[in-house]
Amino acid sequence: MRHIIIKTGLIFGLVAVCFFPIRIMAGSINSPQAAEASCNFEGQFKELASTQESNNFDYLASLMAELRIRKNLLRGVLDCSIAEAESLRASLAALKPNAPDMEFLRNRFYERIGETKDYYQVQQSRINDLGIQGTKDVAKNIKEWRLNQYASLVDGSTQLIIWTKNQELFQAAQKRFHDIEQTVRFFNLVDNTEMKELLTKAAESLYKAQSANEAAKEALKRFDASENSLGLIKDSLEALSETYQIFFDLSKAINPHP
Amino acid sequence: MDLIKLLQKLKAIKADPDYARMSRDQLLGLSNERTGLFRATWQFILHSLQFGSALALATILIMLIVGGFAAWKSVSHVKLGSLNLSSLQVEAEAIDVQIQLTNIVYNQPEGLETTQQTAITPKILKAKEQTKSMSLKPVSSSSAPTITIDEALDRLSE
Repeated sequence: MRHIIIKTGLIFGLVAVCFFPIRIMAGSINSPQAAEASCNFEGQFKELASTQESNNFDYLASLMAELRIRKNLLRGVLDCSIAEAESLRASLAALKPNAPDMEFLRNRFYERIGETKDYYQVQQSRINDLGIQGTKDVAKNIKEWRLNQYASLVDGSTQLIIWTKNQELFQAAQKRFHDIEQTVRFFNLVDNTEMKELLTKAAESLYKAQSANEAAKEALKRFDASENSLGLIKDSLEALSETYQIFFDLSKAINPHP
Repeated sequence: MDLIKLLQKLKAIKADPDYARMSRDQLLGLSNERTGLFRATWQFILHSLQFGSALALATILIMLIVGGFAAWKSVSHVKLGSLNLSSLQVEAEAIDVQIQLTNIVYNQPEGLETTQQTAITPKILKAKEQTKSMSLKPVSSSSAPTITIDEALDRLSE
């Protein structure tokens, strides 16, 4: 009998080790650092101003100096713009949308921001042939292009990133509500008027938050990166925050002296 | 006469065949070998039975434990940690960070302004890092260049 007990223990231990292995989770934080170009133009603009203000008798040399500074500035600005686009692309690449339609949207933003890099590179290739007025015109055109084309991509991408990040919060809130509801029901507290009211308020608030979150998703899918989708994202988060306030009230009501 | 008859009867007496075989085996030294084989066979059967019993008991024990956990999961409706204030606080703070982040983007007048304040890194990147660390510090703009891309383009177009 003693043999049987010893062998049982040994076999159990062996199987237990096989069944429940210790998993060492090596957590790695994926934080892509976008390469930051030197984007401090302060010094170059001061140099440009001093060149323009100087009473240089050699007018041609003065113009050539201004042109050189302007071209360098334009190159620097375009380098910065490319780095800016790359940085945004890296953020999008690191994004893990939880739905295929949002993944499609992410890919679409990713591709379109990639195309902006091509635009900047074409502008860079033209710099050598420009005169002073040419640098002014190109700068103006780029500014307008950024306002009319690029800005909406930045807005859309930013909102998509925020929305995707929000989904973790919504999942946590949903689980939290489910657990609280079960706890309240288990202890038969659901008959308590205060508990019942708080639980109903929490459910309504969470539903409101989820509805706004879903509406924001639909607005983003329509490529409607206007204030409409951002406003909906804001509304959803505020409703979620209110939901948590009710969770706090529930917690205090159940356990007034934690 | 009786004695003679008795002696004749004695002549007919024979040893028990099994006893005779055992005695012969003992005399010829075969007994140990036969007994050893028998004992080894018996021990093998006994050990097999022991091992089988141990395995069966261990399996039952594991099934009880695993089944017990599963049963606990399905039966237990009480999530006692669900109302834990500190874990609620952590989740609520994460929401606050996201609200701050959304407000930053929301309060900018035009879409292009998103890139103007930080020039290179959109605010979302910094704020994302903040969200990860659950910090409520405001987005720092100390490292932001004084002249942004769009400001530079404006000044270059003049």
